[in-house]
Amino acid sequence: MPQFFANAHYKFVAYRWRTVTISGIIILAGLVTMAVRGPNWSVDFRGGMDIQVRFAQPLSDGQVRSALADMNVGEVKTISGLGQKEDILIRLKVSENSEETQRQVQQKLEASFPGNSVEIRNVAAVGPKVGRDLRRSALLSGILAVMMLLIYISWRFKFEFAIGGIIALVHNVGVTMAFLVFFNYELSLSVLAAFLTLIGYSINDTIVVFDRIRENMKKRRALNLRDIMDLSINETLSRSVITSVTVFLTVLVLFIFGGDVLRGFSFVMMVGVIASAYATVFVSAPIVVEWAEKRMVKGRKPR
Amino acid sequence: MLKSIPFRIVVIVALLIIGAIYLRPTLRYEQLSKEETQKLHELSALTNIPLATLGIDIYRDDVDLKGEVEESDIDEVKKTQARKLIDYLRGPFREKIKYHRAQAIKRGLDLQGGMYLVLEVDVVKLVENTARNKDERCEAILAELRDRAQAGNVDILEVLQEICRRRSISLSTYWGEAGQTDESIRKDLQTSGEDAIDRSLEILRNRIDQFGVSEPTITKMGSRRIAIELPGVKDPARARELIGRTALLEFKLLIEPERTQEVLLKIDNIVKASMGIDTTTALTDSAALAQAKADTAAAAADTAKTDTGAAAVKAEELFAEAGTKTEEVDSATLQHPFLGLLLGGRGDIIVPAKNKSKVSRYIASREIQRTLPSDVQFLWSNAAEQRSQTEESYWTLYLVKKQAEQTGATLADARSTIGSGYEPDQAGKPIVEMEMTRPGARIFSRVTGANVGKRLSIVLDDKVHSAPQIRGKIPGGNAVITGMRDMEEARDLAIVLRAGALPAPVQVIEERSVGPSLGRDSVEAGQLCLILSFSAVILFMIWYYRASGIIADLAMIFNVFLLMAALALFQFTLTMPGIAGIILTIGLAVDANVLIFERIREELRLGKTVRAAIDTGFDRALLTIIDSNTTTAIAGVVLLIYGTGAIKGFALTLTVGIIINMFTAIFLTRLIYNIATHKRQLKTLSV
Repeated sequence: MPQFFANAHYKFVAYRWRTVTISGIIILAGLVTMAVRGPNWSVDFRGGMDIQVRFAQPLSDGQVRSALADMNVGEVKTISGLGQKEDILIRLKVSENSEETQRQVQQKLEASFPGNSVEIRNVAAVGPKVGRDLRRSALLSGILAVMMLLIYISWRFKFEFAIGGIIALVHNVGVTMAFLVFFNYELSLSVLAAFLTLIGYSINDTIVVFDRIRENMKKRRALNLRDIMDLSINETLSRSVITSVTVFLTVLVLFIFGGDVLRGFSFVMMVGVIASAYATVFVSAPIVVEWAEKRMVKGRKPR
Repeated sequence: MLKSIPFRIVVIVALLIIGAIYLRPTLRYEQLSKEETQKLHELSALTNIPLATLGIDIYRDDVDLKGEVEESDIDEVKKTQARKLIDYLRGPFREKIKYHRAQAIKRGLDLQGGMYLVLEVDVVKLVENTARNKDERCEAILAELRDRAQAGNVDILEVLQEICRRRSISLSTYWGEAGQTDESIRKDLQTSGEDAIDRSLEILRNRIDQFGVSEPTITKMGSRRIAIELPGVKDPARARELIGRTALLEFKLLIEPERTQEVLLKIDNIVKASMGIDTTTALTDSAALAQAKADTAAAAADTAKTDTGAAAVKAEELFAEAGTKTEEVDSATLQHPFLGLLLGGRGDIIVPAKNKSKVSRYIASREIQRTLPSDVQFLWSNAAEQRSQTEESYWTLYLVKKQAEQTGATLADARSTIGSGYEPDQAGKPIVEMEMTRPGARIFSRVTGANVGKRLSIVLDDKVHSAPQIRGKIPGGNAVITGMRDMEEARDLAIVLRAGALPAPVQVIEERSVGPSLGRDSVEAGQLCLILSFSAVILFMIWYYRASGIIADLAMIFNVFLLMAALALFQFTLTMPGIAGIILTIGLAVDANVLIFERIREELRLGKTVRAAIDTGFDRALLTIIDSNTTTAIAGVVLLIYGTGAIKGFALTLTVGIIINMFTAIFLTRLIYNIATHKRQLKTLSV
C-alpha cells in the first residue's frame, strides 16, 4: 500500500527564508510584468464586445482580421472551441449597438468568404459602465471574503495564525497572479471566481496544519514552537499532497477538456493548488513562528 | 440515536430515494427534448419553415401554424404529416415536456443557448420628458445631466439638483408645480422614475410572455436596471428588438408642402452661409421658391388622381441633383448645398441612401434646430426603399408637427396579418391592424374629421411607417401599420403594441448571447470533464487507500448525487462554471476522507486496534474537517452574494457541494466503517 512521506522529518522552518525568497521573486516579477504590460482585462471588466464565430470550413484568424479590416476590431484570435474544433474570437472595442455590429460582422464575413457559412456562437457585449461596476464589485467581494476569513480564523485559532493564514493566501494569490500574467491570460469574471475559490481553498489547506499545531501544542508541551511546527507539517504532509493531487487532477481535466470558457479558471486553480501546497509547507507556519517568536522576545524571553 | 447504525441506514436510504425522485424529471426531460428536436427537424423538413422560426412559434397559440402549412405549396401527403406532427407537439407532448422542464434542473444560458440582457432605463430622458417650458437654459441643464450620467451609475436626480443649485435655478422652473420645493419635486421625480421601472418591468414581462420564451427571468437590478434572461432563444436579434424598442406609437400630422418647402429653403440658406458661400444671390432663392410653388401647383394638377398627391412637388428641377447626372452637379450643390442632397418625388422629401447621414447631420445641427419652428420636427421613414433593382435605395424625410395627435396608449388591440385590397403598400404584405379603445376611437374620429386632405403619419419610435392622406373622417378607430420586412416583424410589432410602450427609452448596456450549438458543445464538454475527473479521482483513491479508497469514492459519488438532487429540489440553475464547481467539489470531496484516513493510519502506526484507530481517527479529523470546509464555504458564500452571472452559478454548486461534503464525510464514511467493524473484530484495515 503506497504511503507518501511515511516518516517525514524535514526541517521546514529552517528553510523558511530561502523558500519565502523564491516566492517573493516570483510575485515581484509578476508585479513588474503587470506594471509594464498593464492588466489584461477581459470584456467583462473592460467593456466592449466579444464575438465568437465558427466557419464551416476553418479559416485562419489572419483571414478574418483582414476581412474585418475597416471595422474597429481590437484582436482576432483562434481559440479552441468545444467539440474538437477551433473558433475565432473577434474583439471589438465598442459595445453600443451590439445588434447592428453583429450584423455587420456577419455580413462582412459572409461577403468575404462566399460559400463558407459562418455561425455566431457566442456574443458578449458589455457597456463601459457595467465593466466599471463589475470591477468594483469584484474588488469588494475579494476584500469581504478576506475579512470574513480573518475573523473566522482569529475566532477559531489565535490571531497570529490568522495572520499566517492570510499571508499564505496573499502569497498564493500573488504567485498565481504572476503566472497568469506571465502566460498572458485575461482577467475575466470566471478567473475572478477562481481567485476567490483559491482564497477559500488555500486557507482550507493551511487550516489543516494549524489544527495539528494547535493539537500538538496541547499534547507536547516539552517541544518548542519551531519543533511543533515542523512536526505538525510533517505529520500532515501526506494529506496535503494527496488533497492537492486530487484537486489538481480535477482542474487539470477542466483545463484540457473544459474549453475556452473554463481555461482561465482552471489555469488559476492549477497554479493555485500548487502554490497553496507550497505555502502550506513552506510559508504560512514559518511566518507564524517568526511572528510568535518576535512577540515572545518582546515580552518574556522563552526559557 | 445518531450513532445507531439502523437509523443511519434509514437516513441514507431515504436520501437516496428522495434524490432519485428529484433527479428523475431531469433525465426524462433530457429524453423529451431530444424527441422534440428530432420532431422539429422533421417538421422543418416537411414544411420548409426554418428551424429557428419553428423553435419559437411551435408553442405559440397566436401563431396559426396549421394555417401556414395549409397555405404553403407543399403536396398533400406532406401537409397531412405536418399537421399530425403539429397536433402531436401541441397536444399532450407539450404538457409533458412543460411539466418535466419545470421539475428538471435548470440549465443556464451557457448550456442551452439563449440570451442575457441588462437594460438601463434612461432616467435622463424621463427627466427631459417631464420638463415644461423648455428653453435654452433648460437644454443646457439637460445636456450637462446627460454628460454626467455617462460617467457611471450615479443618482441622476441628485446630479440634476446639484446642477440646478449651482446655476441658482430652482427645480420648479421646469419641473413640478410652481412654488414647489426642490426636495419635494425631487421626491416626485424619484417616484415617477421608480414607477417607470416597475411599469417597464411589467410591460417587458408582457412582451416576452407573448413572444413565447419558456421561463424567462426578468428582475430589477438596482434602481435603474432590468436584467432579462431568455433561455433557449434561437434568434437573439429578434428578441433584442422586441425587448429593446420603446414602441411609442404616435399619430402626427404632416406639415403642408408649401411650409415644408419654406423650411427646406431656409435650411439650405443656413447651410450655405455656414459654408461661407456668398449668398448675395438671394434672387436665386426667391426664384427657387417661386418655382417650387409653381411646381407644386403643376404637380397637384398632374397627380390629382394619385392618392398622395395633395401637393406633390415635382422637384427634379428644383432639386438639382437628380439621379441622372449626379457627377456634374458641382455648381448646383454649391448653390444649394442642402437641397442638392435631396431628390423630389410624389410630395415626399426623398434622400438617396448615400446622403442620409449628411442630411441627418445638417438637420441635427444646432443652428438649424434653432431656426426650425418650435412646433415641428423632422422624422425619417422606417426603412430604406428601392423602387427597382437598378435604382439606388432611398429614404424619405418627413416634416411633422411635434405634438402627436394621438398615441398608442389608446390602442385596444393589435394583430398581424397579410394585407388585402388594392393599396399597393398593403396588398399581400405583412401589416399590423390596430383597433382603438372607445375614447381612442373618438379622438381619432375627431382628428381625422378635422384634417381631411392633410396627411397623417403613423410614427413608431420616431420613425414614420406611412403617411397616408386623410380622405375623410374615420369613425371606427381602426388603423394599419405598414412597412414591415416580413411576417415575423409584423408579429413582433403586434406584440409590442399590445403590451404597450415603455414609459422611458431603455438602453441595452450588457448583452450576452450563446448560440444553441455552443450550448450543446458545452454540455458535452461538461459531461466529459465530469466523467474524466470522476475516474481520475476514483482510481487515485483506490490505488492509494485500497478498500478505504472505495469507501471514499462511494461517499464522493453519493455526494455528487445529492448535489444534483439539491439543484433540482431548490430549482437552482446549472451553468458551465457550475459544472466547474461540481468538479472542484469532486476534488475536495475526498479531502475530508483523506483527512480521516491519514489520521486512522497514524493511529494504527501508534499501535492502536482497528476499532480504536477508526474512532480516534474520526474524532480527531472531525474538527479539522469542519474548520477547513467552513473556510472554503465562506469564500463560496461571498461569491454567492456578490457574484453575478457566471460566478453565481459556480459559487452555488461549490457552496452546496461543500455542505453536502461535510455531511457525507462524517455520516456516510463512518457508517460504512461501523458496519464493517460491527460484530466483527477486524485484525487489519485496508486503509
